[in-house]
Amino acid sequence: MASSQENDVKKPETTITLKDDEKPETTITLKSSDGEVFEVPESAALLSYTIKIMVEDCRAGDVISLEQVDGKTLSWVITYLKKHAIDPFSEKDKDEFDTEFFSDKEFTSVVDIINAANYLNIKELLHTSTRKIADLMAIRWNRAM
Amino acid sequence: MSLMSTRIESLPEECLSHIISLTCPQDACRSSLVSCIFRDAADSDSVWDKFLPLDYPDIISNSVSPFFFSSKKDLYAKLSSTPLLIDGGRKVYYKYFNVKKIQTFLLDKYTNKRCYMLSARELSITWSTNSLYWCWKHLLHSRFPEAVELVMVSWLEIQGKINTRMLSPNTTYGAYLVVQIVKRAFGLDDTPLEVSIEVGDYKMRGNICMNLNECQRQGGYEAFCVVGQRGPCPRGDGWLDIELGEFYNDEGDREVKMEFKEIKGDRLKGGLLVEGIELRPKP
Repeated sequence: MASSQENDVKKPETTITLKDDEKPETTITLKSSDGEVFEVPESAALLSYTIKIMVEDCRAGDVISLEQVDGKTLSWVITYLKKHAIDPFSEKDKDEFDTEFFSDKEFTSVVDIINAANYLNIKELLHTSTRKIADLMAIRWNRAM
Repeated sequence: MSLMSTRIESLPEECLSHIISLTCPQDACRSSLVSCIFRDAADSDSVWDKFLPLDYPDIISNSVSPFFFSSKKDLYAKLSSTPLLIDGGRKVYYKYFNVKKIQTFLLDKYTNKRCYMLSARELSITWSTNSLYWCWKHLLHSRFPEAVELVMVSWLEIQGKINTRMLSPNTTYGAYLVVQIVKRAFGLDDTPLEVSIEVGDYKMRGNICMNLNECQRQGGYEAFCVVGQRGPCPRGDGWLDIELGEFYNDEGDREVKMEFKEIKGDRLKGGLLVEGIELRPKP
């Protein structure tokens, strides 16, 4: 019987203040041409200059529609952006990641990535993917010779 | 390649041009044969600008004759197919003689590196101002207006100099004395000829053996090339190369000194026709 009185006493509220780097990062919602939806951390998404402009032009929480990129290619691009958004990210780690990133991609997939990087205006991805295609073309020309 | 070429043709032209510019001149030429889309991208100035040397405006402004080109690809084709005669300024030698320095510039189409040939007038040839010893000639089959023929001399000494800034960086170069051996040649096979290259602290020396009897017996220049020995080799344009040595050009700013001489023996020598010294990348 004493316990019911105790239960009526409210416990004092506790407030937890998060530091800046512990706050959950804002995400941006991207939608591919074939309807796939991706939640992407803001720091990664804004590495694309095109997405940056689109975000500035719309309201928070809106879905950014990317008409020129299909779901498969967009998921690769997002993997790339998430990795490149990590700070700090050394040149050596970048090179290792980029090499591995392209190692399992076929010629036509790399072309799709170039198209996407060009549309999304991601300078570094455009640079590495065009380099990769040039190397693949050179290899094929030499084999044909 | 057809599925891939269809897919890659979906890229914007400037993207495709950028990709082709990352390959090499030969691949860019091959690309232009794939399709009309590839041809437009591969033939664009933005591609060939990447293959041309950065200072090409200076080079062509020094051309001895008027130089015209219709596109950057055309410019590249001209610079890589025919040595371009350029005015290297004037040189005063032996105090009294003020002569025009003439050189040729060529882009090696396989490596895209710079090749230069210094004319005989640019070289320092001991006794060459005296027509008793050396005779200057106008030749139709030379790229230069003049070449010089050894009449007779016991002290044979030819030197050439070039600054490494004129050459492509991070490249191994060979230096070659470009000559012909005329029919009346004598004394060149009596003693080994000394060749050397010096670049800063780096020095390379060697000896060259000529075999005039063999040449006369076989009747052709090919007889000079003896397997395992260094000797003059045919260039394919009617002249012979005598390798003076090789060196690695890093990105420094130094003078390359090249020498060909026979000054130890007393024997008279004659019949060496000198066109110049060429520097080109080693394969």
